[in-house]
Amino acid sequence: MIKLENVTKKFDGFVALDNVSFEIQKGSAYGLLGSNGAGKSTMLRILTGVYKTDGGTVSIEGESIYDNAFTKQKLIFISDETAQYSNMTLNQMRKFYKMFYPNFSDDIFSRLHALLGLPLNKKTSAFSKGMKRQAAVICAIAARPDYLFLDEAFDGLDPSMRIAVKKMMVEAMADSEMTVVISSHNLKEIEEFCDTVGMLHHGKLIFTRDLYELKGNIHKIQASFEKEPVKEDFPELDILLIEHNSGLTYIIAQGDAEKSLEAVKAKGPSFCDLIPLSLEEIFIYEMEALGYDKNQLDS
Amino acid sequence: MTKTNSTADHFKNYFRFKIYEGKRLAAISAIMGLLSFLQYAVILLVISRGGMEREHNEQLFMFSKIICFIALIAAFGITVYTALSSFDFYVNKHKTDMLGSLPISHRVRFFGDLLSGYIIGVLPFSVVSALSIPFAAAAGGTTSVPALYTQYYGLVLLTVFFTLTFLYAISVLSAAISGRIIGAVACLIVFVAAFETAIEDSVSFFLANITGLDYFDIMQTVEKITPSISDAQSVVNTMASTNRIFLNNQLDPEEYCHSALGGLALSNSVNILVWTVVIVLIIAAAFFLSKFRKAERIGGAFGHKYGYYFILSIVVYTIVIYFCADRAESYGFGYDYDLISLVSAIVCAVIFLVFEISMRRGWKNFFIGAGVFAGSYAVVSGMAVLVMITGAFGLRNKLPEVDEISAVEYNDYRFTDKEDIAAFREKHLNILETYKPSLNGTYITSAISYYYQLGGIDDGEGMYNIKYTLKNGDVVERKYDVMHIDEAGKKCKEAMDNIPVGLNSYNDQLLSNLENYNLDSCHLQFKGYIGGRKLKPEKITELIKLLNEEQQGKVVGSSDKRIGTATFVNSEDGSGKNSISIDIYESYTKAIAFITDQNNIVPLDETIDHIYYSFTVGNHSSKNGFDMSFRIYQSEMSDPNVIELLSLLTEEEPANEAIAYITCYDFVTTLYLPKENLERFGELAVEIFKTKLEKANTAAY
Repeated sequence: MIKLENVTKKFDGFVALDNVSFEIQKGSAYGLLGSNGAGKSTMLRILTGVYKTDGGTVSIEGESIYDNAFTKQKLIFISDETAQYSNMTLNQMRKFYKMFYPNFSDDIFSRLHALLGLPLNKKTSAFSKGMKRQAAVICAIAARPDYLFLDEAFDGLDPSMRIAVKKMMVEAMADSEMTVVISSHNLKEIEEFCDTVGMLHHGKLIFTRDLYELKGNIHKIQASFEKEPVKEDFPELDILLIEHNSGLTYIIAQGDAEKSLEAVKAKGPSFCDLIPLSLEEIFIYEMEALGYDKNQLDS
Repeated sequence: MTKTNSTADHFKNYFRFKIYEGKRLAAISAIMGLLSFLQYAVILLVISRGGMEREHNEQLFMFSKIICFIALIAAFGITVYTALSSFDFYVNKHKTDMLGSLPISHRVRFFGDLLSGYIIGVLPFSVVSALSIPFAAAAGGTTSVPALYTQYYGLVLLTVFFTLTFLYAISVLSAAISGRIIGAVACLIVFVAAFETAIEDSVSFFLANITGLDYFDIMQTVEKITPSISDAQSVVNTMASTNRIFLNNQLDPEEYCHSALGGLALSNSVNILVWTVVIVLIIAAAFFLSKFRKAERIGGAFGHKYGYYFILSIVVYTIVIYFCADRAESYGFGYDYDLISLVSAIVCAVIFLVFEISMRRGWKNFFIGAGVFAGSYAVVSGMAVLVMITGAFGLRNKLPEVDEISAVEYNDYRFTDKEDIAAFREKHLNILETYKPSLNGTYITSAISYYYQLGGIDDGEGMYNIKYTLKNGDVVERKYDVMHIDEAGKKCKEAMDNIPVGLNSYNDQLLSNLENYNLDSCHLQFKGYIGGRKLKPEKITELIKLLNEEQQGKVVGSSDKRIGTATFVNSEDGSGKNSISIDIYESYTKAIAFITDQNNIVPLDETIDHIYYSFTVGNHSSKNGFDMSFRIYQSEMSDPNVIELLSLLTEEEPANEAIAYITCYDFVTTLYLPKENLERFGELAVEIFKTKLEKANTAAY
């Protein structure tokens, strides 16, 4: 289990992470969401021992991470940067990870390599961004870590490769109870892959929750009224947003879906329906509720 | 079950990875080491052409020197590059995530980087260069000096090895304190400048003020001990000089190599120990600086929050102390701290502005930086000025009490009588009181600055060396270099030249110690002895006895004129380090009669192996002519041309303009050639040259 308690990180006075606490259960797939500059990459670097916290503690299975080689043997971090591999071939990358990770499996590497068909003895500087990322991912999975951290995991991968990479990771999780922590702006991928998500905004943790629970707790109701209602017309609902478009009213609310639907129906709409929300929509509505300008979102 | 690696495994794996990563650099470093062989190829070429004329040899010698220089510069470049690339985790943002999250501790990473970089960058060059020693020994089998050559060349390579190691350590320190390559290079420049200037100048400047010793004397000692990149210059010169013994088989290899090594810093174990300690301290500093730096600072100019201010303070300190020391070196105790303050402030300000503008830190940080700059400048320059104007808070002019002193040595004289000591000390105190430092920068040797202002008009100079030997064995030394051209200087001269006490002479003390030194040979440099003479060994004791008698009752400042020197040496030592020179004065009539009696003197042709003559043809005072030189060996002394040529020279400077002067190699005697002898001298010189060339050609083929 990964545990963070009151973690704070500052860069020359700028607070990148502000008193963040949460836990990630072993074997789970955790998605880290957030706007640009929210602190996602900083969080991953703290979780992998690259950065030292300025306050609070972070541990994996009860052991500290920073400057702790034995804890770090259990984890691998694939950052969004791939330039560090430029002077290596895929085969050299295999040897590199094999040196540092004693559980590295040549069988798994060969199998994944055969699946993706990357050149084995060509410098990765000649690879495309997606190919470099594939190379890093298959090395990381073959190293069989207990914890895999990926920053912008699916960036640069084409749709078929995204499916292939996700499949690899799911198999690895099933085989060895590997915990995966992913940061991505691609919320569709997070939604498909993760079972838990956490959202950061301006260095603060907005929420961390089971994805299904989260999706069950926030919903969208589409209705048609003679007179367009306002938020105050539904005092019993925890409304995040109410919009009107082409005679239809859209209400985004938190809480029990059936109760919310009943409350809207009680106002006598000519038409009323519950629409399931995607993670992307939940993210946008949550951010809007925090005052974040929708036009700046990049997902 | 999850397998785990031990710390040793971590280190081994990381080390293997780094070596693998840097293998190409290691190959380049080794190839550069091959240049050491190339210089031998040049030397061997000369050896194979044994009859090659001297001038051509000189050109090839220069070529081997250039090769040495290129090899060293290349080795320096590779050392710095390897250090910075080996520690690229601290300066390359791309590698932060990969290396930072690897299962290795900071300690493993630091020492892995340190050792691998050293093995890649420094060792290949050093090892390949060292392999050239047996190569030289084998190839030099045709000469008489391979063993000696390899012995000295080993010391040269030791200096190269330590200089590269020192540079490597500084480069590692620069990487540890920086966040970018450009920052690391800037720090490297600052650190090298600080080591080259700040440390040596600081020690010399403060020691000179505290002890009252001569700045330049202290500097020479400190320079030898302090690790320094500029020692590369002495390395090149020494390497080239040792090569010269191959090129010129007329040089005495042992003497020449010994002389060449004189400029080498690492010719003794104490210096090697100091260098080693300094290198270890630098590495330790780099370790702790890297341990407490934050990974997020990679990509910024400095790896630590206060790194910029630290470097800025070093720059300010180096500049201020450089100017203080420069003035101390040029003017003895005659400081112009107002000038020092102004010039150093301008230079510091310019550098500060360049730093600030290049770093684009914004106005707020600019003002913080300016505050730090001004503060550090005020502290450093204030401290330096305070030391100067107070004479190191009175230490410079503090003299031991009479009861503490067992002996005083003043120039060539020595006092042991308590009354003499008290009288001399009183005189010394009066001088210090009269010329003590004042706020307007006037010092005991203010005359020196006047001397320079007057365009070097010298009205006499006095070098006053004073040494108090205390009863507890400590020694207090003072040295004043005084120009006697203003009132201050004249008063000083008057005071020091007329010490009205009867004194036991310094020579007397030396004479009484002669037996302890086991000195068995006596060289005489004496009026009328061209090239010097030797005393017959069995006559040495007798001369010492005579000199002892002559010394009685000598008085400092008497009008007695020194007309020669008797130098007693150990004939087996050869270094001359343990020699004792006794001055002979005009009043030593018995001693003079003894050493001019030819029955007591070894003949000239047994005294010296050869005389090295260098002629300046033309007006010797203006050097408006040309130089030529050749040797006359003992075997040539009987050549009638040589005998006649020597008879044309005179010790007395002719009233009319002399047109040649000659320096005797061993005893530094200047001879003159009167104008009327010029034509005959030229004819004889040509004949002597022809004879030498014929002999050389015969030997070659």
